Amino acid sequence: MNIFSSSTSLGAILCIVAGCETQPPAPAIPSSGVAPAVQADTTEPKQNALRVVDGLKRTISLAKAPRRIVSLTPRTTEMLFAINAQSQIVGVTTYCNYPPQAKEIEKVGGFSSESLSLERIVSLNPDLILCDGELHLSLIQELERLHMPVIAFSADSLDGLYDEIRLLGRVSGHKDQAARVVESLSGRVGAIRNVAEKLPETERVTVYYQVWGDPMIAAGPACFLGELIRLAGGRNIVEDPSCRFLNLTTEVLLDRNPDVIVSTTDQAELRNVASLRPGWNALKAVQTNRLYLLDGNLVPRLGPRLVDALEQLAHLLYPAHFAAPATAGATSESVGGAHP
Amino acid sequence: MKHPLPRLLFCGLLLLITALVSLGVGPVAISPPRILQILMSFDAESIPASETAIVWELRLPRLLLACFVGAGLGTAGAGYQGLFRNPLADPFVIGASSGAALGATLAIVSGWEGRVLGLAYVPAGSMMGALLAVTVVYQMASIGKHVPVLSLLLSGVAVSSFLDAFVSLLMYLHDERLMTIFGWLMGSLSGRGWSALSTTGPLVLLGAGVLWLQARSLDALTFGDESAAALGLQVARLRAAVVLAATLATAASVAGGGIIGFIGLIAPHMARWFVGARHGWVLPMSGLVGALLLLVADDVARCIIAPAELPVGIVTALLGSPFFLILMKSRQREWGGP
Repeated sequence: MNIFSSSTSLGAILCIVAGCETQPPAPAIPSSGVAPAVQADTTEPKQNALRVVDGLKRTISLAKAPRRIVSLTPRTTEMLFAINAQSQIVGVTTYCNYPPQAKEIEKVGGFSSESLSLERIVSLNPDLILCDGELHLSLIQELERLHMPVIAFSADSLDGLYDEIRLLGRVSGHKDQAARVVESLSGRVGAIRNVAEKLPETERVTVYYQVWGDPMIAAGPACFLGELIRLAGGRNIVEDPSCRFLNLTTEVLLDRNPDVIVSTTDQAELRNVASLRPGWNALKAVQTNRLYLLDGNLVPRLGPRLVDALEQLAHLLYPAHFAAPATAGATSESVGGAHP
Repeated sequence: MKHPLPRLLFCGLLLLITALVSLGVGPVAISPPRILQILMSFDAESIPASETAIVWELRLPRLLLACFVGAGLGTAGAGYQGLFRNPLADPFVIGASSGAALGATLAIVSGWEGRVLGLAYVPAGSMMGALLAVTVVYQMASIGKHVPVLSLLLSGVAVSSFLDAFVSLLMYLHDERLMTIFGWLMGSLSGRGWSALSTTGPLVLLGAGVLWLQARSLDALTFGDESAAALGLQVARLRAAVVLAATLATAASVAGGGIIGFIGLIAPHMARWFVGARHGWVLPMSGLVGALLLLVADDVARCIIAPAELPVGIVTALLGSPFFLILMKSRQREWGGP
């Protein structure tokens, strides 16, 4: 199954206008302050009303901690499990495959707005719906029309992820667990950063992170995948710091000639790339066998397990400085041997 | 009209020059002397491997592929226009594009990675799809041994919409592959190498060759089925031969570059302007014009939004339509208005 669950990377793919995508698409929903659904609630004085500002800068206030959450992205599902709020989830998507228990929760559809069943979501009688801020814009409007409380998630960095975990903790009543999760994640990230920062310039490798193979899209420094490369001590072949995703061609790739090519296991194209795509045999990374596939369930997802992916990546880039991560499920594949 | 041969040769020369220029054009700047050096393999050690790969593995096979695909579409278009005696016919008129689209989409969503006839799975799927779709259309249209033109066109339209609906359905169900499918449907020569050329090239030549052998019969057909039959022409056999040859050229072109519109429609018209109406000249000239048009369009597609590139199908429609309209306007005086 192809799990391409990150909204940010999907945005790049659906963005057919090539070149460099520098900014996330502007939210189509005006940041009109309070969501209509909850406006009615706030007219009555509620002492413990909880107010949060979501990824689309919408202010949402919830009268009580939600007991029936529908999570429409795999990463929010993973976050809820990580902060021990899984018993409050009543609906997920077919792409929510981690942890395994998530597969047993009722499904409400796939990942785009169109493939999600509004009827099924509503029939679950949710008191909170977690949506993606880019992918689910049209769905969010529908849900608002039905007075359903929605929180949109649109982080594109590790700090953004920490904020989202804390927000979910606050909303779901698992504030302490959320704080502990963030502390643990940022500690592990810090450990990688400390080593990576001290790497001598001569040892640093240039990296092409292939978000999508056809057409070819590279992760730029401004998206969270670029942040992973930077944190792991790699130098991105996309230099423009404001660039999130760059469409490019083999010709340009040959010109920039990266030391390492990284993609994810869900991007099957890369597996046989040396035999499939003309010109790639001349790439340094192919000749030195440095094509790696990160676990496709970890990486394009900006969830708690992204740090597992960071540990994998650091090990792949600098095996002499970073031990192979022991985390279960953190497997990676070398595409070595693919070239003649 | 003067003898068409010099014009044909001139167009061939123009194609050769354009091809040489195309070799030097791209998002990565490589100087003409350096390109010459790479082509001659002269002092190869001093050239970065990446530049050699860009010229040999990317640009050269691609520009040759553009020529063959353009030629295939142009010739097939001329063949169909002659067969249907209708200037609106193009290579996709009896279902080839819809069949190809469905074949390619199926290949993309199946994720199958085998190779057929030296083709990767998507081109192979598209070629099979095109051939199958036209076969079905032809079978549906035939009444005994007779295949009326009108029923051929109608069953083409019906089968096409049926297949298009399947493509839409697959795109909807596999929205995670949407971009790849969409990119393919728009037509692109990106990422094709020598292997694509080794399949597309010979099949296009074969299809175009068979079509050319029917040139005199196609000329006879311009007077209508009955007159042609009175001249001793076996219309049913001719129709089958033209459909088969044109479909082969179309399917091979589609395998090479996806569904590239417009070339197959306008190349025969331009060819007729240059060399008159006789198919013996129109068919090869359509091939040359098609090759030239697609080559130029692909150069634009490769460079205009570097470091990325456009699907060439967008360029052919975007530049081709106005270009064609301007040419048409300038010719209207010769036709004599009301």
